[in-house]
Amino acid sequence: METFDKEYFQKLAGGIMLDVNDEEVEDLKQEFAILTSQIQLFDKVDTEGVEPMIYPFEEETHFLREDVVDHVLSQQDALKNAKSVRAGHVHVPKVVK
Amino acid sequence: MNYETVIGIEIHCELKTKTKMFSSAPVSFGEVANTCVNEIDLGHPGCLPCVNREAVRLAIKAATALHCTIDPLVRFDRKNYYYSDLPKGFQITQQFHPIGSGGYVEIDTEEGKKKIRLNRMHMEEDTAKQFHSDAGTLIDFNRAGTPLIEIVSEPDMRSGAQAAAYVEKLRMILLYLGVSDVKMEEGSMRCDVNISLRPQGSDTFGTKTEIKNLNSISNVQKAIDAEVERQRAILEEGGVIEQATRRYDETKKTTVMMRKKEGNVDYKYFPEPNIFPIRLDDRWIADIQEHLEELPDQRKERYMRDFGLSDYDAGVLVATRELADFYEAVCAHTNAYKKAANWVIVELTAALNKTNTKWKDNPCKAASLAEMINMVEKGDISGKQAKIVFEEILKGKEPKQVVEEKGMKQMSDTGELLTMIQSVLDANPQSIADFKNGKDRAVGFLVGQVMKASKGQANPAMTNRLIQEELKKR
Repeated sequence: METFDKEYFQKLAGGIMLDVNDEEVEDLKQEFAILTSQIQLFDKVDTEGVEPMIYPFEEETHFLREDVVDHVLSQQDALKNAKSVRAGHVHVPKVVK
Repeated sequence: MNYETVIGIEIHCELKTKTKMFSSAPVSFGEVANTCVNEIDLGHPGCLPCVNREAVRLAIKAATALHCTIDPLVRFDRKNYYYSDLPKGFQITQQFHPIGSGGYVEIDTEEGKKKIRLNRMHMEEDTAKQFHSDAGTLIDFNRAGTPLIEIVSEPDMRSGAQAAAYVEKLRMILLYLGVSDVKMEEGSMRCDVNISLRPQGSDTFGTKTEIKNLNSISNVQKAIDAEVERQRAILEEGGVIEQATRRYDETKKTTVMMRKKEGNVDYKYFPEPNIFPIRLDDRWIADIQEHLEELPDQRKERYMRDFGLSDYDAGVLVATRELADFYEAVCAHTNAYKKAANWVIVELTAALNKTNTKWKDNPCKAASLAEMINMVEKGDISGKQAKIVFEEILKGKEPKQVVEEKGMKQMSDTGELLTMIQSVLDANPQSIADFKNGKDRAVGFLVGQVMKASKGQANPAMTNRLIQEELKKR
């Protein structure tokens, strides 16, 4: 299992572009210690011969949506959350060299 | 050293649906940016994807025509990567359980027919379209979520020509099925080619390069030929091939490095938790498979069988859907199938090319062309006259009208023709003597005289026959 130390949280935070300070790392360490001890309780359950599940209910479904245009956003709404908009497009810093 | 070329191809095709793969926003091309999207396409938190029935139906059609085994339990997976064309941070695809597996496409090669095996065919969603400039990247999400099928071949092709034949065959199949627009220039069909070389007889693969963004079938072949030469030159000098993604530069006629590939990217695939497995109804699948449209190969065979066309003519017609459809419309009004094929393939195609007219704007009415062909068949007009009539048909005129206006009607009235023949024979005793002495050329001369006397309106075949008959009587 992972060691939930300072480096671990800093690397994780960096990966999703967040800054964490030392105080926050301490909080996270404590929370993870509690989580880990709870997860270890599962080890007591005998899972011999049980296949891992992907969905909580392994019932097959049958529904497929009909191909009918229903819900479309206006351009104004579609672009509402964009920090920068140019000529009806979302504008971001250049993503290719 | 002799090298063997090994080619595998991945093809993405946009499915011809009204709405997206997982949302009810419309599928579009060339619309105003960001006007064909909803929250699902933009990856807003808290919204759930919902699978499009029509996309699944089209995928089943394609998989059936490509001889794939169909998995009736539809499952999706997440392909995780972080890029601005993908608002959710992952693409929903079918990594672990593609709807179609195995299968093949049969192509014609110089050595005969060859089966190109398929690895798989799966459904997924398209990404947003990006425009890059120095001022930044502009993103249009209209394309995001458009239903796609990806068809992955085995590395079974051995030349640029085989690869081009494979892409063309796939394109035709998907077009005839109505599964996709398959317009490479508009990006509704996109082609990525993997190429490597290995010493002849070797059974391990060499290092491959991938060529992306090929926008026409002829460029598929040109790009492969250029890349094969590039790799061969490197190997012959004892160098090593660098694994990379390249693109084809049309003006330089060579492939250009886009980016190096450093190991395999880990996309951290896992089953899509927001879409439960969907069990398709067996009867629904069977119904789709039983009502499949006629495929290009079947249509070609039918033309050869029912219309008596040559392999070549049938192939030319079938290669362009509009051409084949028009030909059939002509054949609904005439039994001169071979003549009809000739007029459509040669004369009509040339006329359209000359004026740079697209097939969908073809001004020629099938019934008019058929009527004109029937006139030639009956001997009402000559082949030469038909060409003039044809010009007028293209301008929207009816053949009967043209024939009357131009006074073209061939003289096929035996009585009138016979009178004319008698006077020509009377005037040319020398030709009769020549004929009796076995000089067949005399007949040609006499036919010419009759044609002249009739001002070109005598039916040549009939004239020829009558002159021979009359000569024998004298």
